[in-house]
Amino acid sequence: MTSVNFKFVTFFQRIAQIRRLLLLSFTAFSMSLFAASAMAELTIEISEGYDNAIPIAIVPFGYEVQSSMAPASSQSPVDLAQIIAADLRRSGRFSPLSKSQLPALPTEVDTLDYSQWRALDLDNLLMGKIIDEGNGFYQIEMRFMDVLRKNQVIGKRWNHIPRSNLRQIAHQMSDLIYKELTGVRGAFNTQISYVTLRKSEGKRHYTLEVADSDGFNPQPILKSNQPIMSPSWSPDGKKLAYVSFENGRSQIFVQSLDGKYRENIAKFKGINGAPAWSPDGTKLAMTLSKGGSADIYIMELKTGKLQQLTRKYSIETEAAWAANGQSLFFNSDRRGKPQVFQVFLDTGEINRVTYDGNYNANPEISPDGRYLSVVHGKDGFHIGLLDLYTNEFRVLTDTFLDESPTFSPNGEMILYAMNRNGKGQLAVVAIDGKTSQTLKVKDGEVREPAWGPYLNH
Amino acid sequence: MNHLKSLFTLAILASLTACSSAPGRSTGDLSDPEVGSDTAPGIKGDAMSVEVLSANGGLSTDGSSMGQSLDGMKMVDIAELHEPIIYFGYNQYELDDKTTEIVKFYAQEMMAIPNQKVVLKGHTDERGTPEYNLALGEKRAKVVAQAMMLFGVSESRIDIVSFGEEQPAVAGSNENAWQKNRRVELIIN
Repeated sequence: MTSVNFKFVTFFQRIAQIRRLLLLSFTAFSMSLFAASAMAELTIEISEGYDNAIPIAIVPFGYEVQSSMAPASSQSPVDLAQIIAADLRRSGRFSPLSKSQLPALPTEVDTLDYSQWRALDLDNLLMGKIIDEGNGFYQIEMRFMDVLRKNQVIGKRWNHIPRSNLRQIAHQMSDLIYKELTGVRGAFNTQISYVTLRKSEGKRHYTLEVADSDGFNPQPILKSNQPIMSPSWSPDGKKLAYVSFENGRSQIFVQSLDGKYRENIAKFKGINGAPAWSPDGTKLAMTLSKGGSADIYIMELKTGKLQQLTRKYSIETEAAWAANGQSLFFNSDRRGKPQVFQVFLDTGEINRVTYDGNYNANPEISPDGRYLSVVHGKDGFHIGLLDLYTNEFRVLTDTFLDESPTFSPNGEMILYAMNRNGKGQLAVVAIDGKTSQTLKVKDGEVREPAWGPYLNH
Repeated sequence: MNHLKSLFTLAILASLTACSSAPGRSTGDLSDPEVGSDTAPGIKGDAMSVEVLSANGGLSTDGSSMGQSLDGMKMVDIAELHEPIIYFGYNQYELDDKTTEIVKFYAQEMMAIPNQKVVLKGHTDERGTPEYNLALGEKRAKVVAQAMMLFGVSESRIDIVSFGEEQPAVAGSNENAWQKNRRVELIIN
């Protein structure tokens, strides 16, 4: 371990660092993304997978109706096991058995014959029940079993869950399993935000959308005939800041996902761009050029008060907060071409961070502070990853026009925008650069992704 | 007089071959669709804005002129020789001799009509990151603004806006499209 910058290695980051070194042999990553289903508007392609996916049995959940109620339907409204199997399969780390491979469909510990499952050479099995309480509410029971040790590893029950939350419960179960087997918190129960662009009759239609991390339930947040850029999630996952050109120029808006609040918070002369929410949710970093050229500012959201962090004739933009909120990484071309710099809020000190190649832009920092993801311009534009502890730099992608990297909240995956055959799509790559999945909308392009925070934390 | 006339004709011919615009070129690439913002119910949308490309005596982008001339030497169709678009090299925001001439031409047009205003819309090609390109597009618009001011147009008549890589004139991921997208459009009103 060399050249560690002690300024930002906190105690927790040390722990995370040690844990990560121990887990290097797993190269685990938690991304479950985009379900390929007729229901979602988005389609997914998995281009590569891991060789060593762990077999696992995800048994279809039993469905029961509480005896006092007349059954509204004869089957579960949502196939929880299918969602969980899809999550785990798409992480590339697990290989769930298909239904036809399951020797039995147990739903309770009493009826579980361990030897049947041990014979299939797998260690773990998930079973459970969904119980219709009536009136659109459900009880869900989950039992995650170790078939070698013949015991229950995870047992959970959810009561009085409305039908609309059932998918979310399934993702929570995926997260629990993932954490149990890899030691890393799962990021299945998360959301993503992105901009779609469709062209019809010479007009451009932009939509800012939020979807589940598996691509289901895309919800439009804003529709416009003018560009939308740079969505940024509030740390509580309830609001988005973004750039909209609806008034003819770049301006920053903050909007709550429940639709109750929307405010144009930055409409200064010149550019209002690159909003980035502080980790404590009270401030927004942004790019403003009202002072003569693009510089980094911080706005305190409650008061609207501005603090200017850079004062250069060069371009300073694309600020990203360090996890401890005490510094920001940003893109500056003060040395001629874009490179990443770091500014410390207490001293105002500015240090250069990237030295590999002559174009590094759009910095994003992993939640544990260890990795810096950039757009690296060499033989095209690729996603690059700088390990801030070891100073190792790697190029993660080999497609030609990649941009807008965003980390999953557990820091194991990067979602980014790529250009394939001239059309924009989203893609996912693991930190170790191995697995690739893509997400696209029909009749249009997807761009500017932002991965939301953990929900219900 | 004849000598001057033939020199002038030569100059026009030279400009015609140098200029890449074709007569009757469609303005479809440059016109912006009407803006609407359709937000979730209960949220006030902001005012619509529509970009006006040509109006009441201003120069239209298809090059048709309104017949005004600055002096006896200028002919009616000379506006066709200069699209009101300045193109830039990759990652560059400087004017060269040719583009300076175009700026000068429009600056002189504006000096002749005192109430005219201009919006300078800066753009980039798709390469590089969107926010960096937003700033780069602004740098391009600013360099055109500075040149116009040097040619006498007062700052209050100039408005600058950058769209970065968000409004390409030509779709495509190739040199031809990229070159056409690295531009500042002069919208004279």
